[in-house]
Amino acid sequence: MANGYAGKILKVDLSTKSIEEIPTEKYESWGGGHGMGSAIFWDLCKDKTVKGDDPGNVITLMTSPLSGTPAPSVAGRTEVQAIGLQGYPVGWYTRSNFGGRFSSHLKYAGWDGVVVLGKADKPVWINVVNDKVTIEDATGLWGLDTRETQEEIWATVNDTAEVGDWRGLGTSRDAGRSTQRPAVVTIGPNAEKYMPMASLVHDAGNGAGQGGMGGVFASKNLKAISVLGTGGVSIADPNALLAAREWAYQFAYPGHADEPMSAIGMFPFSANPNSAVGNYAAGVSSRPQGCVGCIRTCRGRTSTGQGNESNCLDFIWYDVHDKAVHGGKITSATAQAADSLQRYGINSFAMEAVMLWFAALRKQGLIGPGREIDSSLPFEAWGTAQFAEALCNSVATQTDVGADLALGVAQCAKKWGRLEKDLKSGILPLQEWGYAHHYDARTEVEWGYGSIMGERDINEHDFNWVVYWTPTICGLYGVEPIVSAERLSQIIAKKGAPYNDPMMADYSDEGIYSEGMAKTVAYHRHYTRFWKESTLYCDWAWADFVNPYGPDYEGITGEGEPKFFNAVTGKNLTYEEGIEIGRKIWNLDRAVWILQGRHRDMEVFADYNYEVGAVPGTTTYEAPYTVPVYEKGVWSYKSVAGRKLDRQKVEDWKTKFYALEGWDTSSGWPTRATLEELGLGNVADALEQAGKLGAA
Amino acid sequence: MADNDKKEPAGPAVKESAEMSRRQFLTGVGGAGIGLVLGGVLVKGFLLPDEVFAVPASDGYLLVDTKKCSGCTTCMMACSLAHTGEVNLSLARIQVVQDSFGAFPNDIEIAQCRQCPYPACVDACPTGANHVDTKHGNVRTIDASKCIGCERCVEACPFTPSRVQWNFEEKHSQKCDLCADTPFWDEKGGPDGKRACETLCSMRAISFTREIPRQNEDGYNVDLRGPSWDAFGFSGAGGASGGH
Amino acid sequence: MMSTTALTPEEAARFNRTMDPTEELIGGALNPMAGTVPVSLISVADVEAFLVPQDGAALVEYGVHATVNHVEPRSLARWVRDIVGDTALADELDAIVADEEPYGKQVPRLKLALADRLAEYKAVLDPEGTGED
Repeated sequence: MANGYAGKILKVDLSTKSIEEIPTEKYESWGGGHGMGSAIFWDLCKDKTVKGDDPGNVITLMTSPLSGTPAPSVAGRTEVQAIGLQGYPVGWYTRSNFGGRFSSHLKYAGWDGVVVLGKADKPVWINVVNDKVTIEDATGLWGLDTRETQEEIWATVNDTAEVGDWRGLGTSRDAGRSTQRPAVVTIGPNAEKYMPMASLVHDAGNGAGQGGMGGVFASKNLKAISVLGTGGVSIADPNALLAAREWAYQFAYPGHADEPMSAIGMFPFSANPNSAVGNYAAGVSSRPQGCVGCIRTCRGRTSTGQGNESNCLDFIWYDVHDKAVHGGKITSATAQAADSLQRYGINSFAMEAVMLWFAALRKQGLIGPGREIDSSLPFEAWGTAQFAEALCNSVATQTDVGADLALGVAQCAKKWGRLEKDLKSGILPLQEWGYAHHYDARTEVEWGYGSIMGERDINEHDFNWVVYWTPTICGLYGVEPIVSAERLSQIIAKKGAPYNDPMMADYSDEGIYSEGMAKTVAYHRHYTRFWKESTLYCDWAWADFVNPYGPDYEGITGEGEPKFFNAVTGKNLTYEEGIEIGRKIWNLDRAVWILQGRHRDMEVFADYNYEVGAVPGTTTYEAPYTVPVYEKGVWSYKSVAGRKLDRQKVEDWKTKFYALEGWDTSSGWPTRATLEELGLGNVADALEQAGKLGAA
Repeated sequence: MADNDKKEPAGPAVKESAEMSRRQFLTGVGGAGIGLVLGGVLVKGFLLPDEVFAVPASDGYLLVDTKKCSGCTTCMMACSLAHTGEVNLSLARIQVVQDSFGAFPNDIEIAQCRQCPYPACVDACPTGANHVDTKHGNVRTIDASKCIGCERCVEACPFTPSRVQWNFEEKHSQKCDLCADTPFWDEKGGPDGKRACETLCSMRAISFTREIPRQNEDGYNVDLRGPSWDAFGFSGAGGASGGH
Repeated sequence: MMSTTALTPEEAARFNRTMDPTEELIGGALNPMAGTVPVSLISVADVEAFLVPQDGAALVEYGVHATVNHVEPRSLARWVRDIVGDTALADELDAIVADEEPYGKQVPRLKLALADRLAEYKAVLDPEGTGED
């Protein structure tokens, strides 16, 4: 059937070596990606209270109907879910997501996802070539880094690691041919020894780091999954899909290439092409490079080959330290540090927190040779490629401080007796659940609230571009944002279904504890659970609230998401219906967390958020921070830098949020009525059986 | 087949395998509206032609800028979707080959059909399936109903990867027709219409010309970069850092 | 140029010193991908290097990879006065801050004031220009 789905999901039980197919149809109502992953996890993970490294854990790598299609900035993402190993105090059931071409090739091979259960009795990798799936011996790969592993697998699957010519995939000429390399996702060397820090890496720089998904692979004795497909993705309405992509260009660079965006600010869908050019040394040229189907090309490949496809925290965990010791200039150390991380398969967000923490500890004379935290790392080489490599190597080999960091950052701090005090002072910037401070809970509250109501740093920039970046940057440079705070509140209200309340944009000192902010967070959780994590629209292009090319500066979100989804699937799903499926997925995830022990009492930020303002002089320096506020009947943009959160008011806000979600306000547990309304009666039964169903 | 006819396996970069001497020869007579096809030239290598036949030049050619390409493969997806109704990289008539670990600019090559003035693929076809479509701007294309599956045209293409592919789903050869026949895309295609790969390339790294390009790599791989590419250190002729 | 009495070599050495980490000024590298990453600055030269004049157009060009290095100007002036101890420089910085221009417009002026003062330190410490200061 031409509906974007491959039609089957690969289920591999490494304990029994069984390889089965799950009909996608069984889970199709969840859309794809995260929704399907959660539903499959719910069905297949018998004991959801096990730890992430237990053979009973189930890991899903899911695609969407849009994977492998020319819908813009969506086709390359793969959603990964499992009980995690990074979170603290509980390794919650969690998610991560990586780009590149893995999801597309999985679809071309005829699979909508891969589900891995059990644990192999020896190291293995899974080889998928179209319908043929084999479990291969990975003994010889286990100690290799992520690049070496991929090169070995490429050579195995393709007979050579080279690419370029047509290669047949079987003895018959009709077995399919490809010029492409297999898409491989793998873990670093001996990653079972640093599981909470271990990421999944695909190609040069696509990583799923948060949650310790590399550790979950390692715990199953699974080194890698390789996919190569020569099949196709059938599209319900090919012409509509092609036309939709061309239509979307009016909102994006391709429609304006002769006169690229000049509006000051940070915009997702409409952004000009970028390589990660600011992260390369002077004189390095680079190609803006994109995942499959991307219009946004946020990373690069470089003339040195260093830092290829890395992006974001892969560089930023180290760039400030590079610059600090090199006269404010970026050197090749930053790109080399990114490569070290990628090759060892280590979570960059975790390492960013480690670097900031270690910098603070160094200042206090607490870490170094013969110090309280005895370390022989080459601190004299701080900021150079040598130090980055040494630090990553210490984690991967569990030597020096790496022996403890391999347990996870929060877990390491606990072992060193520093967790509580360093979270209180803020020198250990872990904002919630042991995850690194990213965007500030005190100022940009939707980010923080979303994270404590969930299970990890949300890392969803939907609001971030428009409520923080654009007004802040404009403020710094004395430029009026292209939309006023009032206009922004109208746009957010229009997109923020089903609440559609302009007060969702109020980040004032009162607004952050209001019903409006409860709606913002609920909308954001539901929108992202479906449109971003299930249909897999990329975080760097979507959601698009404000667009310099849009009518009256309104972005493509609301119209764009269902347009592509429907062209591919032939369904007639509305934007709002997608958000409602997202609400269902969000409730299912919450049910898993509750079985794992979640209660409202646990949903609090690290102490520094209540005790220290994000002001100059703190490890979480957040000045300036300009956001939309509604004060005395007037909308404006205003800096709220330095704001602390009020514990009681946060608790009051939580009560509003739980009520809005239809959850028991005393426990934060969903009620039967809420779950049944969503068609999750079986989930309500499970919670009731566990004594954890919310009181009506 | 003579040794000098072998297609070289390409590394990360796609390599031209046609002999230099042949290309020089063809370039020397190129530029005319009518091309000379050397019958059996690929078999005979450096020998002078035994037979010559004339075909009209294509009314259009795809040009690419491999430095500007982001490697997103949208051109491949658009091509297969417009022609077959499914997205299938293996059925795309334009191929983007890349090495994730490679150093720019050698990490990407784009293999688009050159609509050769002297189409070896057309010449190689024993049934006339691979032909010059005079109704659609003289594009070199394949009439699937006449294809007997011998794959001589696939082998005859002097480039790697071959710009003519074996469509293993429908069991016939296929090649770029500049979107003259796209049953799944409502736009008018061909030299007088739109091409799906060009239209949907988000980097604007594919363009179209009616002029016969110089018959070498540089003729088809051109500089499409504007001044905004300065930021990446390799702007085109329109930018301050020059076309390097 | 500072409009104060001539620097003594002792003053220049003191103002130009690399401070103890506990005396740092913390700036922030604002980056869309990471939020704000705090940056420790422990000398006047550090701050001068950290401040990068750029206009809004540069931010558009670099998009999400744009980085804005931010030092709160008032904190900078206070740090120069209280920690570095260079009251003449602090006065000059305060005068810039008092104009209440947007940060992006202050940066070139702040950077220039710091660079001029660093040159004065150097002139006093290394009058022959031998580079051996």
